[in-house]
Amino acid sequence: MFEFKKRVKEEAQGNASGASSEFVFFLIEHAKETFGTIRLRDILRSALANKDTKTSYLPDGYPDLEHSGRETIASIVTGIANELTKVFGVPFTENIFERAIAALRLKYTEERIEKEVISLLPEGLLEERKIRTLSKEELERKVEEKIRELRAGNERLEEKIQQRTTELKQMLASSERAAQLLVRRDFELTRANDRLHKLDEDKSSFISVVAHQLRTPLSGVKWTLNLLLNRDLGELTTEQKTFLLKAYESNDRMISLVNDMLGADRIESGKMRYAYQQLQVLDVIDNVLYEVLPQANARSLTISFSERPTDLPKVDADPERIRAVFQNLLENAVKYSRVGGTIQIGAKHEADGMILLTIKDDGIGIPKDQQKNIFSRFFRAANAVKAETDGSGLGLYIVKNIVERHGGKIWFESVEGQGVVFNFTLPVSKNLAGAPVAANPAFTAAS
Amino acid sequence: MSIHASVGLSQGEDSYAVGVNAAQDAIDKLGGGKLDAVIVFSSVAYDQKKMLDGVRSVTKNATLVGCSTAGEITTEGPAKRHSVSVMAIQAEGVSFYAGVGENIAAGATAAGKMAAQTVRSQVPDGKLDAFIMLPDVLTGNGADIVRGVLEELGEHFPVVGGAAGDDFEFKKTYQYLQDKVYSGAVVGLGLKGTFKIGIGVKHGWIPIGMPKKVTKSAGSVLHELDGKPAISIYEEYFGPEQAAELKKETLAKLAITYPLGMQVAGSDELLIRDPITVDAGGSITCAAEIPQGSEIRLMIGSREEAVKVAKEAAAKAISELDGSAPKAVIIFNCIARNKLFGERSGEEIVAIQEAVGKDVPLIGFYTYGEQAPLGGEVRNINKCNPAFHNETVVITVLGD
Repeated sequence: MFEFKKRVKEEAQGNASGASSEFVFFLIEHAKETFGTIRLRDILRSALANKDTKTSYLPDGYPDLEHSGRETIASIVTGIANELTKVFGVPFTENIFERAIAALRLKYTEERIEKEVISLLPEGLLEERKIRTLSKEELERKVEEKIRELRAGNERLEEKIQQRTTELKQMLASSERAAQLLVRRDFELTRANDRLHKLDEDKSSFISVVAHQLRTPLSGVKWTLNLLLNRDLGELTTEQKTFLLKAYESNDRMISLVNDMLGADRIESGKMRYAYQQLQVLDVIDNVLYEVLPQANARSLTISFSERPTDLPKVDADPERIRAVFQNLLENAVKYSRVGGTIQIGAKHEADGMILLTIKDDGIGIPKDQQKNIFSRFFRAANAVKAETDGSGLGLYIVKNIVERHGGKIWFESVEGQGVVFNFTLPVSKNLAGAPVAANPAFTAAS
Repeated sequence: MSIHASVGLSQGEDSYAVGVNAAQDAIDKLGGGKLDAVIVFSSVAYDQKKMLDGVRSVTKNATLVGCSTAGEITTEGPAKRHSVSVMAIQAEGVSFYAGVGENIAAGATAAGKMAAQTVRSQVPDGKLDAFIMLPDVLTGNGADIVRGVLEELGEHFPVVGGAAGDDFEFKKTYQYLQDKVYSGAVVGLGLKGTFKIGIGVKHGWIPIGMPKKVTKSAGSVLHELDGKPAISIYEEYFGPEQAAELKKETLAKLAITYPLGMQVAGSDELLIRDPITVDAGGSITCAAEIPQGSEIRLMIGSREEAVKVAKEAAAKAISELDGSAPKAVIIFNCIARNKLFGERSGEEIVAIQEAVGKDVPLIGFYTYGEQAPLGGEVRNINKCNPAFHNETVVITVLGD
């Protein structure tokens, strides 16, 4: 807040003269009217509180002005000026002071007033009047003083600006270094990423080539073993037949692994083609069951339908792919069931135009911490690896892709050791549900 | 009053046959009726005149404009190999006027002005509603061509366009007007009537590091930045070895991934300038002018961001149709974006189609520079300031 400062000390030294004490009396009287005696006493006390000059007080609590020095008088003048300004503003205060000076003019010469009273006025108050009273030299001194003050302020500012500029420059320089580092990193990462992409592509095409190449000799082996097992090349002993059957099974597993690899590769490279047609999933399930049953019987498993509606609508699906989905899920259920376990299959027409299919077993289940990875490529849960060494880790990855490509969803619930329920949905055929199947389904969608 | 458009695409060896097939494909999809305008984009792999004759044999006298490209784009996405694409337009209540400004080499501004003038002079009241330009920028400053066009049409006028390409050869491009093939020219198509137009313009790059002042440049050749050879900006960031790649290769990967950006008033994105070649002295030739005194910054971005903003630009263009259904989409997309995306350039077009609708007839091409109002501003015509862009996707949608 704006506040008047007392004039420089040397100007306010010496004893109070008649003019000055009368001036102060006038001010005090006026302040009494304005603020009241009690408030004024406080104003004066606080104006004098920090003064090193001793001030004597009269019994009524007011300072003894008769015996006060100019220092005390000046403090009182400043105190009153500040209080008046605070409450009524500068013009009002200056007006009061002007009136006090005017009153003095009746008794004192202009010269005495200038000399004794004007010097008491705090800095900033009635400056114009003060300047009028100054000599040319004093005026010049004042101006110089002001200029010096301004210059000093200016220099301080400049210094600050300089300092800020330096700080800013340092900040910019370090942010520039950071930018360079960032760009470098970005460049390196982009390049590394491109290389990895390339590598991934190479690897994928390598797998594709290898798998394709493996298929032919594996088919050759299968054909040869078939010849032997069919006794086309002569009778077999029981022992020979047993070992040949083992070889035949191993070869079949190998073929299925290679097919999985090719399937996964096709999904990744977007080369998987789909030929949709209207079909009844129950027929597909029956078909797959027929193939899975021997393995299930070997482990004394019971497979049954928990729900098998007679009016289940058809779906638009690629028969080969959907068959692969059921085959994968049912074979998994068989593989990871304990001897004598139960597998339940469910099919249901949901209200949202989807068919919900479930395959539930009471086998080894999926450990909780590995559940999130179950649909990832090449992932096999630890307990699954233990139970069955064979497996590409690609089956569920392929299943998920096929289901999603058909516009369905797949999920599961499992408690380790208690089995797993796989659920997936397929949208009901867009052609009127249950309508007779076209002899030669027309729509074929490319991938 | 309504716009009907369709897009045909054809590939093959025989230039005339490919022209015929592309045009016929478009016409068939349109399903009859009078043809009002035809836009043709073609690879330079075809004999340009034969190809155009093929198209004209089908489209007859319908107003035709087009140019050679660095890759055609249709509703099916970017063409996988050399092709000819044709957009056939029927538009009741919309008139189309076409013209050409020749000899850009002799004066780019004059050529731009001439193209706009010949188009405008055909309009009965001399007032157009929109202007599509297809300039050559191998023989002159693209920004000057835009200037010339605006001299004629007014400072604030909705202008969009793409600079013709030549399958990344940077040797010679062609422009088509009716049955004629030009080179080193700018072809213009003026639209007038009752239709709505929405324009989306975005690139998705952001500036990084301190701006550098262009202390010496001439047209599109950037000689010095902060008193040092222009190449220094790349050397500082990537080291001299990597920066040298820019000297060896045209529109090198480094240039595409980290182009230069120029601050311009009226656009929240910086205007991109792609370095095309760098000479032994370190001067960079850009795809468009960089005035002396401008401030240049290195730009950084990503494919993901580029795809994201392409969709945003498309959505912005659609929003300007005020609820009208988009009837035709014309895309001018920078060749640098095509190079950046490589095999995955289709993703960007898919993203655009997610916003405009995947069945809306779409034609476009990979350009050597794009022309569009800064920020795609067409609503507030006083803020519609067409400029020459690089590495930017310009999406124009037309509706009733």
